Amino acid sequence: MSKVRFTPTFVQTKNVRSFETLMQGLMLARDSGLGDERLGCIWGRAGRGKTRTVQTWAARNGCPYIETVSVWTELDFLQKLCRELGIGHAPGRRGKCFELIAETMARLNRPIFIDEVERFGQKYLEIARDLVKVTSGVIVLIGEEELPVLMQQNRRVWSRTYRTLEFEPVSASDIMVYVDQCTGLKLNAEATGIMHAASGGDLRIVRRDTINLAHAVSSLHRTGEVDAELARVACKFGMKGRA
Amino acid sequence: MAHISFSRLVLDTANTLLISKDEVSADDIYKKLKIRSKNDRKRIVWILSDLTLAGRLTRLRQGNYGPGVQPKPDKHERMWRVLRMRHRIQVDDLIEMAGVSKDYAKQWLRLLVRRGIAVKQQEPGMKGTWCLIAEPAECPVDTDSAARLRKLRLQKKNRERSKEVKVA
Repeated sequence: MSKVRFTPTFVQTKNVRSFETLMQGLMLARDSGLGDERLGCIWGRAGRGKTRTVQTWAARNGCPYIETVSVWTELDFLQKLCRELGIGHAPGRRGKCFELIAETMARLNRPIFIDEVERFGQKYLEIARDLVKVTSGVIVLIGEEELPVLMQQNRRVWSRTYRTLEFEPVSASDIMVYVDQCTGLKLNAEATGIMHAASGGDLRIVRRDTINLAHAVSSLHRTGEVDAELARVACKFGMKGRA
Repeated sequence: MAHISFSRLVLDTANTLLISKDEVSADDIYKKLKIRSKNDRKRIVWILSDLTLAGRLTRLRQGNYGPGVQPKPDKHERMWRVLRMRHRIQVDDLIEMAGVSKDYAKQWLRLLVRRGIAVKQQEPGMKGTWCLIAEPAECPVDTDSAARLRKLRLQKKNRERSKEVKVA
């Protein structure tokens, strides 16, 4: 049997499909000019694949993406947004930055993604709301469990929110598809259950266990479906995920 | 100064002409770029065909083009965006997120290291990681490869021509 290799692949999990539906809905609403809801909210625990999904989508569709840094001031944030929008020289004043961003966003037919926005409380949410109000552009906010709560607290932000999407734990069927697409190996039901339990819904752990599984199959010269024993070997060395 | 490919020049010219009118003909582009020779005109026709296939321009009728649908980023730009988003990447990240081949990703990362835009960090026996250390405003373009490919195409063309002469 030839050596089994792990090929990094962007797998269409249930979360990815839900994300694409959200983006289609947001862009459709923008293009048709219906309603004022131009904010999207993506939230979920760490390790569910939010950032990776959004970054992949943004890279493939040429969308600006910003990951906030804890030491940033409002000006730093606006200047970074200017640079991401291709504004050559970002001004040194907040008002001027905002004006230039609004001008560019009005022309740009692409959503803007802002990651880890919840760590700044209401401050950046208000900026995002002002931008969508002025330009009718689309901004998608990404964060952990606190983000939808923060948005709901601010009625002006919440009334402009199109939809919130929770990135759910990775399901057993997602794991089967992931292993199949990345390695070409087929998992039986028991092996899937073992990998699912070991991952605790964390996509990073699924990825690590899939790499281990490819190594185990190659070194043990196994063929056919992956059974429970092999799945246990693959999950054994890693840290056990928590539900 | 950033390198501008000939196809980018044709696209920019078409887009400039499309600001003032709804459609642009191949003749308009020849005139604007002061193209007279038959070979150069042929080259532009091929480029226009490629741009239409890529969705950068729309073919309205024979020889007439309109504005294209909003273009999606090419492989270089996708890789550049992934690097800027993550700051530290491995070849696997580029394969998965930018949808490029392993060799292409490695070649592009080597270019970044040569230009001083990224540094490679690698422990013995481990996979290499590339860190972004400088952030130029524009996506770095591999002009060396383009020049090498042009040279190869020219060599191939010359070989074919010499074969034709021999047959004749």
